[in-house]
Amino acid sequence: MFDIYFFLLLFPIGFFVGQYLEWRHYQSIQKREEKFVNLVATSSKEPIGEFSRIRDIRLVQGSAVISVDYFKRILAALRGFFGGNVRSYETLLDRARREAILRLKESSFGAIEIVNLRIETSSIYKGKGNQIGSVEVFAYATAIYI
Amino acid sequence: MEYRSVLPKKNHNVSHANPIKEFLTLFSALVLLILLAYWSLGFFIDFAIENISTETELEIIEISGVSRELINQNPGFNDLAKRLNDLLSDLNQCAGINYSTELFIDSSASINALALPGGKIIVMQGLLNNIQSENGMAFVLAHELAHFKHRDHLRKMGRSAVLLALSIAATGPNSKLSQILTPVNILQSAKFSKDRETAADSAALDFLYCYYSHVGGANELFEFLDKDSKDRNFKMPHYFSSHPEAKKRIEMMQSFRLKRGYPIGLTKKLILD
Repeated sequence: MFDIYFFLLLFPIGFFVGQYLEWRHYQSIQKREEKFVNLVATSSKEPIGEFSRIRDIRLVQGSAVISVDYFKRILAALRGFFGGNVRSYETLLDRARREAILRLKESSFGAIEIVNLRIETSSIYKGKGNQIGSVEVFAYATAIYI
Repeated sequence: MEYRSVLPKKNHNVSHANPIKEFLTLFSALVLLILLAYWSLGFFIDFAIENISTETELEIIEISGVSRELINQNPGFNDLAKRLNDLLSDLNQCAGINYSTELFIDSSASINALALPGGKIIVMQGLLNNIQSENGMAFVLAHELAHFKHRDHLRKMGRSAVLLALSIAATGPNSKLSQILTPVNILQSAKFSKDRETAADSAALDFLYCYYSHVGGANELFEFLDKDSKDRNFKMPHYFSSHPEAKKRIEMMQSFRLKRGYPIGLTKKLILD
């Protein structure tokens, strides 16, 4: 019986708090993306454009761990039963990916360009069915300084 | 050509559909599915209960919470209880229940015996005081064994038993799902439908014949109850009230006996000390 009260409590909390936090995160992501829009970050192995004098080349990285709320987890479980697009996890991964790239850009201060950008994803709750799922996205790249 | 970085106008990596709407659609589909499964379970429930394994049966009984306190209060392991337990296990050779059965004596004066699921039988002192022959006692025990044999406790749970068995098979007895599906103390009371009682009487007669090679004493309790109710001029207020009335049961037993050609032999006296 306790489980049901627990569920009824967490479900709306998960929904409202989760939606609010997600909205706030997206606001922050958009603002920072606009700020860094001129710092080119590509998956190209060669620099794009010609630089007369390259001063430094560095490995830069950014990582973000984001968790999904209770509501989304239930929704994903239902989706897991019927199959189809797990829409409730899409924003989780989108936010983590963009946050990781933003952190990478923030940590490569002064770079003229970022090349060879790679992204890795891993889930951090394997085997523990009752835990809220969280995901880590790790972005790494080569920053070019002139 | 020069590379120009621009932010996308729209995020195409996430769906913009309403999550509440998605939830309601999926949830109602699931509820519908469960209702459909539950409803269709009713059609093959007898078949399913026959085919549940003994292990699953015992697990269902275990997690359904049989009154342990009741048993713990009544260790009752005197000489009589020991002899009755021997009688019970001998009868079980005929009944063929493949888990252990145990008998406890309760000191209350009511003329009553209880079959708790999982092979536990509680015999009230009042019953012992009013039964004269070992054969009469053996019939009562055989009747309770027949309830175990027929899995009447599970049958009484009905669809929940099948749901629980499926859940145990899929997720194990300690999973949350199994615990949620467990009906609260449904196995406690031993009131079965009259059909199940008649079926138990019928099987008990076979067990009795198998053990003694005759069915003398089978009706002893019914005859006593019939007389008792006439003397007191009211309907029996105890456990046997859920059973078909004593007189009808005597008639039914008679017809079972004649149909199967079981003879009536001499009964042994039940020694109480």
